[in-house]
Amino acid sequence: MRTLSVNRLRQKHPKAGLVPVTVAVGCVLAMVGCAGGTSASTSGEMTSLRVALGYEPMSMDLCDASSARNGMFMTENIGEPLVDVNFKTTELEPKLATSWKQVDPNTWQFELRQGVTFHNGAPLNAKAVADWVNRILDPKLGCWLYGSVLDDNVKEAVAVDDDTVNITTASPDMILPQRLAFVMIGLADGDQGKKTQKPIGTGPYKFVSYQPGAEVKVERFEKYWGKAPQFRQVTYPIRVESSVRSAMSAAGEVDIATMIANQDAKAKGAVNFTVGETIYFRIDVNLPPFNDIRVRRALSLAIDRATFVKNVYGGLGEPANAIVVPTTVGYPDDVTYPYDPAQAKALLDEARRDGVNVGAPFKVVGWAGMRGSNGSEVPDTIVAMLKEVGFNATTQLLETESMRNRLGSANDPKFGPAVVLNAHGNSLGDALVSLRGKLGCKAPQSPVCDDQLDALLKQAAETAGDHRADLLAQAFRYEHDKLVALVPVAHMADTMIITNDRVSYTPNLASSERLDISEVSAK
Amino acid sequence: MARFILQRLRQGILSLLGLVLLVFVLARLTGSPAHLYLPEDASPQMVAAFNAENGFDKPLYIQLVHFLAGVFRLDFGESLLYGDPAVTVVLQRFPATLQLASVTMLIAVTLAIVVGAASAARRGSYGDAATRLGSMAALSVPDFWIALMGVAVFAVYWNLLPTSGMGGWQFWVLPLLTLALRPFGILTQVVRASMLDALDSDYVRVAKSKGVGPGAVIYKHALRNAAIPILTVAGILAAQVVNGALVVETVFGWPGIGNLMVTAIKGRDFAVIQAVVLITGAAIIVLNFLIDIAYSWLNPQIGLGE
Repeated sequence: MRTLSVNRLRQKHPKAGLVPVTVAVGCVLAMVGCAGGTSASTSGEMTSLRVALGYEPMSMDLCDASSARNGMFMTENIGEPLVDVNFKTTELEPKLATSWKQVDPNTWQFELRQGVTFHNGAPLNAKAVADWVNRILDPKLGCWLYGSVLDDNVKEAVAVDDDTVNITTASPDMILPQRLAFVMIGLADGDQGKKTQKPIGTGPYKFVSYQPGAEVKVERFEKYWGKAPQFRQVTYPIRVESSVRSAMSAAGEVDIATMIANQDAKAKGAVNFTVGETIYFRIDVNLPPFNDIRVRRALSLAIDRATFVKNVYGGLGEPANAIVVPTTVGYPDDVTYPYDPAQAKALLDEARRDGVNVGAPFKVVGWAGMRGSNGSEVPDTIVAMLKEVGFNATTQLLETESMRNRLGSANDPKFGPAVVLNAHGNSLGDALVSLRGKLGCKAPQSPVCDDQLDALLKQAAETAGDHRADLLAQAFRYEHDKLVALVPVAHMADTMIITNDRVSYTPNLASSERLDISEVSAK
Repeated sequence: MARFILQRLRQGILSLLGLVLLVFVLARLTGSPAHLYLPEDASPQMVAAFNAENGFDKPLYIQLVHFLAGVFRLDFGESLLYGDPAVTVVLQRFPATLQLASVTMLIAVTLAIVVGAASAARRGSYGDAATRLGSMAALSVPDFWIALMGVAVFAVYWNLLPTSGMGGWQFWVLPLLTLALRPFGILTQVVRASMLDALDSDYVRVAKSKGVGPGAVIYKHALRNAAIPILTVAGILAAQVVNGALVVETVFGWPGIGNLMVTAIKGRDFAVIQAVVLITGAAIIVLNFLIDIAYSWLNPQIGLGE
């Protein structure tokens, strides 16, 4: 339970003597304590930090840390990965593993850091790491990490000795260390087959409490192996309303407010930053009229991406030429998706003359929960642009579960031909995951199964370095020239409010999924 | 009395059973929640494993039989979101809503009686007009707007109250004001109308002719007879306040069952949805039962169904 922060009120209104008096009287009257909630000690040093979250966590298990709902407080704070990714340089850096190497095409070996302990006092060793990774791979547990970061290509983890872990894959995976940068290592106390209620990691902060619907609290882990963090305690109030998170920041109740909606993006202290997430639409390529590539190309040419970003996202974000952001390995620099309504109309006329029913009605399916979208604004805007060139499109807005089902039903005539709008995030920094997940033959969401594309992706998966990047860029070009099944629209932006007079933090590409408290400093 | 209680108990159990069945079927019509708990690129094998683990792969009638068997043991299953038994999750959050709803109704009823009765006693005065206008405004203004305006004015602009959360008395002010406004508006109008009828009645005229003072006429004679409709509407409003705290709890981060319900519905947490509905339904049935008893207490001519 938190009481009004008297120190915060003093900071905001130094002469407002009545306010603390009112608060104190209120506390006495209500017989409640006034302790807690202050962010500064008597010496003025900031000892605690408050970060407003926009989501209820999906669990208290570190195996769900790759979900933004958990990642914002868990990743790098409670749990740490074997390998770390520097989002400024995109280079990999040692974390719980001091070194790693590929010992054979299907096996990566990791040497663990010594002297690291979990929050419950247990030492970090190879067995603990292997058990944790194998636990994630259990499909019954339903870990978010399994499917979003690790897939069924990862076979098992084995402790070679006390400090060495081998992780084997069914086929070569050149970016396994990069994937592991998203796997927070933890300990499951109690039933291994159930999600834990109390995350135990090795990070600089240990879990204190979770009050559902209210807040999560963590505190400094005094036996942390690395540099001791600056803040003794971090509290994460959970407020699902963006305007309330913004108000909390304005009232001085939080130091950082995350996931701020567009309408509050100009609030004092608001920082807009590009995230590794892209809006795109998927086309039912096997259903008429979209089984004609000219019609699909016309769909893409009809989209005025710059206007979309300006009108829907208030100028935050960028027009996209791929479903990954430009810093991603494999980003195709030479692929563009221009806006050319005249060309779109010409292509439709040509197809119409060849007997294609280009005026057939279809749905533009949108997701009600899309970041920064107000209701049906995103699909409505796309529909308006498509109508401009002569398409007969209407909006269909779905909630999350229906949207997921719809995404898994590409080319299903039951739903009719459709253009399905979705957002795709790739903070891994490598395009293979995106291309395989959205266009691979085995991908549940893929609207195509193209042997040539699959061969390119397989080759890329087994290749490293510049050649890998070339192969992935080639795959993007192939999709653009031959398939036109996924059409990128815009790279999205996120906003957080940082109370600059108390703390400083520079958001990065992953800041909508994780907030590493060691990167926040008090002023 | 015993017959009345048994009759009400039977009706209550039947209502709850119907309610639970309805919620079970409606919730299941939305399909498996697997996609909400697994990442977007989860394989069909992962989805199948999730469904098998949580029993969503079984035919609906089997799921229903398991569910009903559990209900009689007050076991609704485990929450998908929280990993605890659903009943535990709901009971942990119920007191926060109950406290908020109780204080809200206490404030709304008390103020409505005072303001509504005073307004009726001065029928046609400026005060009466202001009361009618004010109560109409109070019941018409959307609670989410009041909530956000309250935060903007009292928390951000004046910095007098916290924006949200649960804690000392300051945290109660904005949620209470927001939640109490509509019941206050409705009840004020009901009190005024009931009091006007009562004040026009013969027994009031007799009391006045016997020299009873205006205070005693209003609060002792007229109010007691006007109390039945007030009590009826207050009971309905109390149920609405318990159920309708969704917006207020969501905006103010109040960890009650309204907040829980929104999260559970979004997360297709069937066990929690069913437990919330059953426990809230039971609370409302108990409330109605108490109101029936209060009717009899207020007017002994009203029997208890015997």
